[in-house]
Amino acid sequence: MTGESVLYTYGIASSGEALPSLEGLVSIDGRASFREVREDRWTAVASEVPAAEFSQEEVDRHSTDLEWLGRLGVRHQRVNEHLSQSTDIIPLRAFTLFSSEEALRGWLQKHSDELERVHARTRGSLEWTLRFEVRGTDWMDETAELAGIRAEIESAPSGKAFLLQKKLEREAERVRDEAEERFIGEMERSISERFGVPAVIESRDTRGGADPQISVLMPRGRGEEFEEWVVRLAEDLRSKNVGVLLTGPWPPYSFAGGVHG
Amino acid sequence: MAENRDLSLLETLDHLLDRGVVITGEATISVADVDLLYLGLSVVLGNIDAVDRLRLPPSLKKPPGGES
Repeated sequence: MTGESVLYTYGIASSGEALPSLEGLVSIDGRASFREVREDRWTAVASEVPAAEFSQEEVDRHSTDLEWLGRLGVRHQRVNEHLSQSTDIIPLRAFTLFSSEEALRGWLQKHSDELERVHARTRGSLEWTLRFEVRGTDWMDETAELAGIRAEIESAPSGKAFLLQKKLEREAERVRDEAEERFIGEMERSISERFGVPAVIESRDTRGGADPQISVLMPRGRGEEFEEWVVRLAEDLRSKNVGVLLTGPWPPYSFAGGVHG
Repeated sequence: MAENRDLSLLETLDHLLDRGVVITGEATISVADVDLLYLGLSVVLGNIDAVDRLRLPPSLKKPPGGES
């Protein structure tokens, strides 16, 4: 490797596991070039790529270019999806880079204990993500408090009514946030009681205003059971006008955290 | 179907982009405007008929873009 190239890294596997062939897959740079970098206990799957094409500046330049991001994202995902079909890969997020093989080996060595914990937690499991479209449902935005403000508005003079309307909007937002949080908490508890698996909740706030979701780490053999359970859940929630989106199985991206996990 | 392609692409990015507690390499490049992507995802989902919301499993078996 030269100073003009870096190692784009997809994921990490235990060195004890035989990695499948990556023949036929496209590497992140559009070629078909992969390498395994082994450091005792761990083996990383990576591609050598031009540093200039994977600099922060270059990514910044494309950060709102969905076509570019999507193209690279799909390549990254396909590699990890392929690896996760037959191995317990620890997937890395997109754009994880190392300056050299030596740097990557040093990192694997330094973080071996952390990787061991993540590997033990995710071994034999894949990630499923459940997203809930809760906003806009009637059942979550009416409380006695809001009803009281609405009544006040009706009898208030126009100036005060304006202020009360602003107050109503703020309170309604708070009520919806709290109701959504309670709902997501209930869903997480239902999953936990039924399946007893680790889950990661991402609130609307965490997701920058997008719909909240719950990712679960499901043993490979229970994916079908989980799908069937979600189908029944979605049917039940339809009466409340709550939308459910299930995606999976994914490599366990949300469970590859080792610091607080 | 364009919506399905967008959905797959955004779902993929939603999982891949660094936005929390994850193992990070020597250097993990951040992607700005990630919030916009998430919101874009909501917009795409909002356009999908309610009956269509439950997708099992995702359409990643036929990845967007048609690249093999």
